[in-house]
Amino acid sequence: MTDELIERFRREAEANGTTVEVLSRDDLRARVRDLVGGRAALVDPIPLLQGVDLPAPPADPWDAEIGVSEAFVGAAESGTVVLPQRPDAPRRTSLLVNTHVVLLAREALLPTYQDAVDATAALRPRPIGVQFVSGHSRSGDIESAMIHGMHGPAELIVLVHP
Amino acid sequence: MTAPSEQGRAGSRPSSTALIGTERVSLSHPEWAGAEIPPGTRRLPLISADAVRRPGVGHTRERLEALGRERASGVWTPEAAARRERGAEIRRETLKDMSGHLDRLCASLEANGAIVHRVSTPEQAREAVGQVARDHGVSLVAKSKSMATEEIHLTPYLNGLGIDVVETDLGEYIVQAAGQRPSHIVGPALHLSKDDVTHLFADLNGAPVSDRPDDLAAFARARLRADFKAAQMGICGVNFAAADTGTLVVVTNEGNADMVTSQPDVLVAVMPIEKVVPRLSDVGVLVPLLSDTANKQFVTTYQTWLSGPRDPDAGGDGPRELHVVIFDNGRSDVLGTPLEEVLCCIRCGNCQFACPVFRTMGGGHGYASIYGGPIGAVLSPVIGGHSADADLPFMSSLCGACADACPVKIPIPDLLVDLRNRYVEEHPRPVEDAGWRAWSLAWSTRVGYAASMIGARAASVVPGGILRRLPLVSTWASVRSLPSFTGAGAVRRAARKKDGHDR
Ligand code: SF4
Repeated sequence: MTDELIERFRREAEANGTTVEVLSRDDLRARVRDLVGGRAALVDPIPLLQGVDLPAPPADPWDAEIGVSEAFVGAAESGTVVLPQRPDAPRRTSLLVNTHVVLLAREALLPTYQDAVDATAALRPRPIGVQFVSGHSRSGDIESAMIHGMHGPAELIVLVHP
Repeated sequence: MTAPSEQGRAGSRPSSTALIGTERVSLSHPEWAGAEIPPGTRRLPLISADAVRRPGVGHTRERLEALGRERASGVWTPEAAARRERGAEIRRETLKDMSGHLDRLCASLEANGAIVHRVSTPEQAREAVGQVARDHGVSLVAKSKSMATEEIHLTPYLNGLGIDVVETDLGEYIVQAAGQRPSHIVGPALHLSKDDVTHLFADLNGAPVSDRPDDLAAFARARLRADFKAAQMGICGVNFAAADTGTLVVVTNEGNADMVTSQPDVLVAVMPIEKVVPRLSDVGVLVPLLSDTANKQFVTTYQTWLSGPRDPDAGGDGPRELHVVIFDNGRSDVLGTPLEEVLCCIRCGNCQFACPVFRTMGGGHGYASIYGGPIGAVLSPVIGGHSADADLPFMSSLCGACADACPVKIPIPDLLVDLRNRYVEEHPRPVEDAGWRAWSLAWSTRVGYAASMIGARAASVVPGGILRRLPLVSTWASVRSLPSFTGAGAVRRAARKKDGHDR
């Protein structure tokens, strides 16, 4: 299913350098398996991925190459996904890896950035941290040249599902 | 800055990997561009004259001019103008009850399990951070960008306790390795070219490095990653602190604040009082406003919200202990005076890009103060009783470009004129002293003169005594009537009110 809100999200996210794919639930499970492949992965426990055959996490999370998280909400206006930090959804999943994959449910996609802020502010119990992510890590500190993947991931992939 | 010792590296107390090789750095810089500004060793007009003539400054000037044209045009789309109005309102609302909001912030933070250190002076702020570090036997700190920590001279203090402190924002890391201080609020290394960075990193490496920006960044990334992993403590700044929920919000594009605030076991957030905002929902306005003016983005890549320490028994990551140091450093003294508006600042750096004097000097070093540019010329004399910075308000053409570029509508030129008045009242021979020298410098070079001329409207408020001594401006000065010197800030304010400007 695709609609105006998803199209807006796609446009804004792609302008930030994010890859957006809209998939059915079955296709999404297969897509995550393919993306992870044989790579060292940090995958948060996500109900939708139950039963998908994924490798065990590396002994040292700093060795992970790919991370898979689920967004609490998204903001179409800014191409943003919102990731609360919880004991079973640690920040490292979205941070230590080179490629970050985020699952975003269509019903969690909100029109504006303000909507995402307000929904997240109302979240209880309040998570100890939240990360609002609108693209891959970057820097412009060397003569304004765009650098991809400064400290966080060099690649952000958002999989939108019904 | 301490270079890590061989012993430190091999021992059980981790020290910095990123700072290895700093003793080899050969990139030179004038004393006044150094990490620690020599207190009052040289007069400001002489430093700024040096800055204008510094080799390579032309290159920096061109970059700043291009960035200024792109970012700080002072033209606001209807959507951005509406957000600017809203942002300006939120900041004024904050000022009206600063101490109430701070009380609420502290109570919320403590309810979330954070440990709050509310202090007055920079010394107390440094000591609070140092005590936390000592209590945990910290030898390595990973730090994300924060002007507040520069203001309280935190890094040299911690170095003195034998602690390595590593700047993790790429631009901050570059200036730290070069032994310099940031030259712009959001672009700390704007004054350095790609070649400068290549030479710097080759020195750190002890061997040549590729000069491609991606390779240079990869070099820094690998070194800083080792420090993120080994650091026992993180130090971060704060962009906004929501009083209602006790949530701290930090924005970056690199993701370094996320590292600093989630991987080390202990986190210290350092903020001056004006970072408080009444409600967490306000960041829905202020983050886009800051991102647009600072970086021409709708929002930065990352906004990091911090609401408390993690439960050590529950697993996951995040700090076990969250400390928040809130310092004043003279700010409360201006509450209730016209100067209080400086506390609305959200540190976007747009006034710096917009300022012809800042560009002409190739960035903020020539202000010989922590905060340079228009905002620095107002903030530096206000905070901490820095008498050495009292003459900074003369480093402006009063052209008004800063106010036009300011996302929260701070009337910087009015405040500059107020502070010039204060200077005149406090100093016996003001015109011959700092004023005349700074002004004559601004007009003594062709580029400085041309830059200043774009602000010919300043003529209506320039103190008459100064204007009449400037030979180059006598033609336009002579055709204008000059108001009395005293109360010039009020004259500007009244004139603009008459024109229908509310601020
Ligand atoms: S004074 Fe205004 S333009 Fe300058 S840094 Fe502060 S908010 Fe930005």
